[in-house]
Amino acid sequence: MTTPASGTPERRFRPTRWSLVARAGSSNGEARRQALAELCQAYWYPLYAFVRRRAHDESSAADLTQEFFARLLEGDRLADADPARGRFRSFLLVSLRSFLANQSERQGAKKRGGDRTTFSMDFDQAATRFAQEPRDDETPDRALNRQWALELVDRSVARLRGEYAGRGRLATFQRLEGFLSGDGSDRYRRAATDLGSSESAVKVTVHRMRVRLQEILREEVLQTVEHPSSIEEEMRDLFAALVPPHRKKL
Amino acid sequence: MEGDTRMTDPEFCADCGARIPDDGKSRRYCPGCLLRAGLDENHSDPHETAVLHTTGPSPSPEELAASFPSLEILDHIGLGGMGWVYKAHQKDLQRTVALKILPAELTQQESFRERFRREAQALAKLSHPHVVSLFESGETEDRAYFLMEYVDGKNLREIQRESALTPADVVATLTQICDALDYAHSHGVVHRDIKPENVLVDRQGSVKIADFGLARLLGTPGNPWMTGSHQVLGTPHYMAPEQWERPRAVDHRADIYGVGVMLYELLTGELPLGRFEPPSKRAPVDQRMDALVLRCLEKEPERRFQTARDLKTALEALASSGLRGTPLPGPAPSPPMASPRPSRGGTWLLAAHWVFAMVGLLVAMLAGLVPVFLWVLLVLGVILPATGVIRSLGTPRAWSYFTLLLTWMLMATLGLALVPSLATDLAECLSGPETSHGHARISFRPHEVRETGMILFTMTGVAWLGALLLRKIGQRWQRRLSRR
Repeated sequence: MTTPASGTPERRFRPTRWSLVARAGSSNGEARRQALAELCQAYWYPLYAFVRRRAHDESSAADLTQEFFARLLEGDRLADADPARGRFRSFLLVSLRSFLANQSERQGAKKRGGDRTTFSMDFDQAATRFAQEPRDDETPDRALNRQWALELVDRSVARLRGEYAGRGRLATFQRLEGFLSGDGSDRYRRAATDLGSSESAVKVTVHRMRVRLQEILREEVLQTVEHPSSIEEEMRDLFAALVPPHRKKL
Repeated sequence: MEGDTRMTDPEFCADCGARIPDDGKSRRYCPGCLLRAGLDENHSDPHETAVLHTTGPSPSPEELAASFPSLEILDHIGLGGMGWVYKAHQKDLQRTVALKILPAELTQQESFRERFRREAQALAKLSHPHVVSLFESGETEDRAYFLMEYVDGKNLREIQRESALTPADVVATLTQICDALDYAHSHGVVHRDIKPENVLVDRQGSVKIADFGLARLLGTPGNPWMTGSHQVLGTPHYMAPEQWERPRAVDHRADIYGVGVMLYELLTGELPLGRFEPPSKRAPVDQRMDALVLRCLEKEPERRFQTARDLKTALEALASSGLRGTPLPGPAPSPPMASPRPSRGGTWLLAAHWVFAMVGLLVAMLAGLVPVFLWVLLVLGVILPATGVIRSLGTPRAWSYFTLLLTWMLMATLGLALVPSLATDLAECLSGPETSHGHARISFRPHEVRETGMILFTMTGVAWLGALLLRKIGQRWQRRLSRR
């Protein structure tokens, strides 16, 4: 077989998490559940914020989020969303909308969730974070996509940091993190002095960090789509969500 | 230090001007720019095989199902130099296989089909525990394909990222690679794209070389498309200099170079770019490793290990003499990215190297000039009075001419053969860092020039002695003949 885990977004030797979830029957229930839990763990905050934006208070939003994920992990069909087609993000959004719409009917029903979710959600931290979100007229859908994009980028940068830390080069990473985006050409020299290195070595390192980050980003996106061919589209959508409408240029 | 690394204005991105989202997480990067970078560059990657970028999405397993009724296609698992790779289940034989297909639009082009076939042919020639095996190859109505062994594991790049490999691990892995390469080379197959992504390691730790997409079969008629003068095949950082400069002249020693780059990278975590230091200066690596790695990375193929077997033997010798266990004895690791600054002792040593190099060069040049004078003498002294030679045939004088001629020819040939390599060294020495194709690499090393000088000096001496001896013998024959 061939190559590049690094060269291409495709993960080698294993299906994406979302394809594991979406393709019922292709794997056993536990693996599916595990994959779904991992995905939810990564992206639960945007859903919580979505629920909050639908004018729910802090505690009921936490309950609803918890309940939603518990049902999802138990395999409840929350909507007619067909997991076999499309992306994890749109599946979650459709499911969540449907869950919230039907939520009034179930109001009297027994509370579910709680300890049955296999991942942890820190709602206190989420509430603090939500409080710092800008108050604007963004629609909940758009806000969800924007936060999703942020989760994706933050998560990818954290992974890159982890890789550098693992190689004992955390200090280098921290010093050069600011160069990941933007053109820092005039500041390379100072960074080189700080690191006791040459300017060209700094440039090479920054270049490698950027390239690796793109690989990680694509790997992370890949986990939420069924097929590598959707990566580009998903990234485009997420980028569009990050850029205010009047500044969109692509 | 902290302040400088932030965006110029903490709230806005210096590049796109967008507001950096502030939700309690202090970001030192602009998420929008990072996402856009991926879209703009369409995922440029230095590791990416430079040979071809297949465009368009890969067909989904469902789309392929109709073309391959005997297979259950499970997943798209990768993109190689020459096509897409899928994991599949072969129904009748009940085994998992890897299916490689050439995209339909490329299948229509004869040149691509030919290359794809060559990869299959290269694989078919090889049956080795450390090379992925080929099961079958063929063409459906619109696509060329082949089935090969599925390796349940990871590639070396992934392993390197996930866990720190000890030098002993690296040596053990590369020994297996050398074994496979030696086998492939002995069957006339050069891989030409040796890099961590192309080395698969299964769950048992056994190594398999994959992706012979660039492989060259030695001794087969060259296809102009495949080795066209502008066609540079390979992955930039792992390519031997001759793959850039003389693609047609590439032989199995290019793979030795690739192994060298991989060794350096796996040991130090860095690529040997520019004025790179020996591995032991960059990481806690046994110093004896330096010579081995540097020899693989020699610019001239002649100075590398000449066979993968030699390299394997050298690796094994190192391993058996106590490379096992970590950390290895060796100098402490230098701080990350520290620039090479020779110590005081190092400076003197370097200066001594240079002096020797210069003296050697001078001697070598003089020695190299001697044959030129001799050719001139040959013309003036032998060819012109040739008539005299002819006239004196069978006389003692002819023997004298004959020995003289032999001596001159020997000297001239020797000198002429050595002068070009000397000139190359000199040119490199004077021109400094060579930056062909943005691929900065310094091939000049003082000790090499010194060695070249010494070799030339010695050979010239030997040649002179030989010439004197020949002349003595000639004179003796002359006397003997004249006595008759």
